[in-house]
Amino acid sequence: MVKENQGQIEEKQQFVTFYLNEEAYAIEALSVQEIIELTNITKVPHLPGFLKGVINLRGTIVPVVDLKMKFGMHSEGYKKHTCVIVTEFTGGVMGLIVDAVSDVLAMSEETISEPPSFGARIKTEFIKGMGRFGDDLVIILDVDRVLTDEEVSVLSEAKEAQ
Amino acid sequence: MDIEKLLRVFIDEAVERIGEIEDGLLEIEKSPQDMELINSIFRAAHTIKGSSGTFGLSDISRFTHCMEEILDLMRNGKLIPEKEIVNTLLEANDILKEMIETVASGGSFDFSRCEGLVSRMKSLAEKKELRQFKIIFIPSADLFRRGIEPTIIIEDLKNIGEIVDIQAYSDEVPTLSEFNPEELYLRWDILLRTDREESEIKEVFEFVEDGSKIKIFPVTDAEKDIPFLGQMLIKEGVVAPEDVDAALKTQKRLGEILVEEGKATSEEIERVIAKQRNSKQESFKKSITSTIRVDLGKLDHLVNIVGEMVIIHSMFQQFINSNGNREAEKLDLIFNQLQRIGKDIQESVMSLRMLPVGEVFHRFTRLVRELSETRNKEIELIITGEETELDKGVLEKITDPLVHLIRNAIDHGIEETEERIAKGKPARGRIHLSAFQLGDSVYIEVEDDGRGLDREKILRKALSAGLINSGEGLTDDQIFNLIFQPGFSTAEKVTDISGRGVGMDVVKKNIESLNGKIFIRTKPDAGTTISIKLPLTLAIIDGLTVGIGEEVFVIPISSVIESLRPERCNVKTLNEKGEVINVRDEYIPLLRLHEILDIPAMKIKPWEAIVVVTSHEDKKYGLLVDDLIGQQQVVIKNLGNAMPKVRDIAGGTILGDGRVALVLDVPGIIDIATKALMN
Amino acid sequence: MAKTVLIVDDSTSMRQMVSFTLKDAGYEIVEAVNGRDALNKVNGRKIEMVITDLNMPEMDGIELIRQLRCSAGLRFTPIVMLTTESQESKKEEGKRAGASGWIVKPFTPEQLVSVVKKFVR
Repeated sequence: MVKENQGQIEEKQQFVTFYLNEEAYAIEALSVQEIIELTNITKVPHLPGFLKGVINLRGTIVPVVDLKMKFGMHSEGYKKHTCVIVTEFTGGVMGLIVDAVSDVLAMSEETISEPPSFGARIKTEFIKGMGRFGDDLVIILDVDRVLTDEEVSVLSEAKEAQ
Repeated sequence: MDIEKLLRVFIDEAVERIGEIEDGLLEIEKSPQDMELINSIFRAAHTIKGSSGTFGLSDISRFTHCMEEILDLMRNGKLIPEKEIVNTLLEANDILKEMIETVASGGSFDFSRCEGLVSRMKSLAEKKELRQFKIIFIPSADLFRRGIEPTIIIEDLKNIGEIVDIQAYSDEVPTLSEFNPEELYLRWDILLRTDREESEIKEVFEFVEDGSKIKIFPVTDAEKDIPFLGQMLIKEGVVAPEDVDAALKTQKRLGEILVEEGKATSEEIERVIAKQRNSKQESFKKSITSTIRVDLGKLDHLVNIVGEMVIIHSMFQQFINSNGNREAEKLDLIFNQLQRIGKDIQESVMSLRMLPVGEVFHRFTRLVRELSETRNKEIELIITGEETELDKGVLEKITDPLVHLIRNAIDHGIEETEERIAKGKPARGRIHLSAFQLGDSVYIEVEDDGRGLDREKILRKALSAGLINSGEGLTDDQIFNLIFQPGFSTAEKVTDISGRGVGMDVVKKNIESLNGKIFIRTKPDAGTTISIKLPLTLAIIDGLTVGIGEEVFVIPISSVIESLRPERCNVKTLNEKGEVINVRDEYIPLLRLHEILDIPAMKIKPWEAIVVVTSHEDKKYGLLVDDLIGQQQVVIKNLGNAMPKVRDIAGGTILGDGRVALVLDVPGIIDIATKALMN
Repeated sequence: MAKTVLIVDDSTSMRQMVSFTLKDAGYEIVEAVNGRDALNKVNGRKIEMVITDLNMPEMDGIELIRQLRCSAGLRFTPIVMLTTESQESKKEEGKRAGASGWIVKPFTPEQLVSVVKKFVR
């Protein structure tokens, strides 16, 4: 997309937007492998609550995380539009359970501002920035940070030691 | 075939030949008389020379020709494969490897680097005759006072030839009352077989020449075969030379004696001797004649398809079961046949990726040889179980950790020769690298007979590194396992110029990423054994599907002894030891899986549910499940790298209906349960 | 325990080269800058071998060799001289003083190690 006044081609990044309890979030499209319907989740014992278990993705087993649980948000269970965003991060492949997926948006660097230092519902370390698309404000998540969060590894080691 | 493909084939072949040359050269040190072996090394070099010439790589061809010349002399018996020559050839082989790699990557190789090496090889190849020299070494009496040890000088001769015979004379040693320990009273006669000139032999005695009498003269053929004792006897006039000769000739070879006694014909003996020579080389040549190169990508694809076939089989089975009709029996029969063929295919495919560990283990011979030389320690590497097979991918990933473990054993485990002798140990340290299969795991062990792990030192290090707060209440095992913690090994000194900061924590991580486990056994002054347990990958196993609550789990049949529903009277509770069930008068601990796995179960009372009796390390354990669903073949898949490791789950599998069922790790479960009981 | 070699030379680069080469070969190194320094350094240490330059201030190599050969602890320790081609007479003097051997400068690391191995196993 070309920005008319400057007459040069602007770099825009693609983002997948989704909703958690009516709030809009986004993650970089590059890390998204696919988006699927929520299927049967097989529970795996001894894991922290937000790591719900594993699912079958065409023959590959993929673990899934309930994002609302991870962020400590109120949840009313899985509904019709609940789906799984299968993402790739530094630790491998993980599925994120979200309420609904909206659009794939292109946002340029300029429309993304620094995360607020306080006041956001979730930890600021998880937020890469705030994106503006039209009139809407979208919280851009740092998926890597969310999934490599200490909590996960410390807990798993503690469980192992039992 | 286009030029690219041809080049690829040339490169692959060259790499294989280079590997053969290296293996052969290491082997030749142990058996320098093996003509068949030398021949095969020669042929490998000859092949590379020829094919590189064909491809217009004339520099490589000329370089290989130098190696070939030396090998040619060796196979004609004109050159002995002694240490220096073998080292030079190994060095040349390494450079050759680099040259081929450069061709593969499309770069250019700087041949001027090899000039020194080439001229060294050329001088080695100059037709040198082997001659025998007699060396009379009468050292000056004050050698000790000059800080010189005569035996080290004599050993130096081994670098330029073979000491055929040596005799020390103590006739100058005076009686005790006149004996001065600071003086050297001994002298030596040495018979040396070498292709060097006299001047080179003289050089060995360079530092002791002053004041010593050193005479070097070539020995004629006639005198050559008479050992020193014989010469002495002749000199003393005890016997005549003809007598010694005759006596030696009566020491006949076994073959001759048998022929004489009519027990065998000389042709038969010849045949067997030839066979004896050849059979030794069989294992070495096996890889050359009976294998074929396969593209790894194609193999992986095949493996994946087979995995899916297994899943489809179980889907089929489920369909048959749930749609029972008149033809069910016939369908079942056909299906069983299909399954049997399928199992055959899958076993064959799995075995394609399996390689004997010996391939990797043998490369370590060189490593140990070089390291023990530079560290000035005498170390022997013993390899057993080289036929044990492992998946190729696992084999590749295990190489680096093993190198690290062997390095550790050499650097920190095995003591210096003097220390060992002082401790009453054999001067030569031993590293035993072994591989064996036990159950469905393969074990690889690195054992050294060195000084063992120092418990106190490890504790101190862990405390100062802040890994633990106190050593109280830690078992020996827990203390030794501290070395696997990240941050433990801050290398105090880099013992290797190219030393990478690889610590034991990285080794452990590598092993665990292969779904393996690593254990330590150590005893002070006796040695240390590092034991690596690896799963036989591509686990397609026979599993027992069971239901617990709403979930389905799979228990590997290999762990299962039987399953039963116990009578109420046979279920007992022991205070503090949990529950047990009585099975034919044997009391077996009962483990409630729903508790361990934290799942709401449907059946709490064992006499209404099913107990699966499993065995682990010779002990029996009963696992409580709700139902037995069935038995099927199952492909164990891992739960994704992103999933943290859970002790009691070995992996997952996809059932016929598409659901994921978790496969239980029976030893892991038993471990957790017994630990919980102890708390 | 690794064997300890004492290198005595007033040239820092020579000491470093010898130290680096022999450490890599598994020996421990102690350095001294001249004869007097060397005599200090051998106190209380087990030295397996001495490598010494001949021209040094304060106490040259020849004198050092003489003193070592008179000492109780190092009378039988191998002492190797670092000589140059033009120093033939010095070399002879060193031999008379009791040196075990010599290496001619400049030398390669391989040559150094092979000479050391002639005296220390």
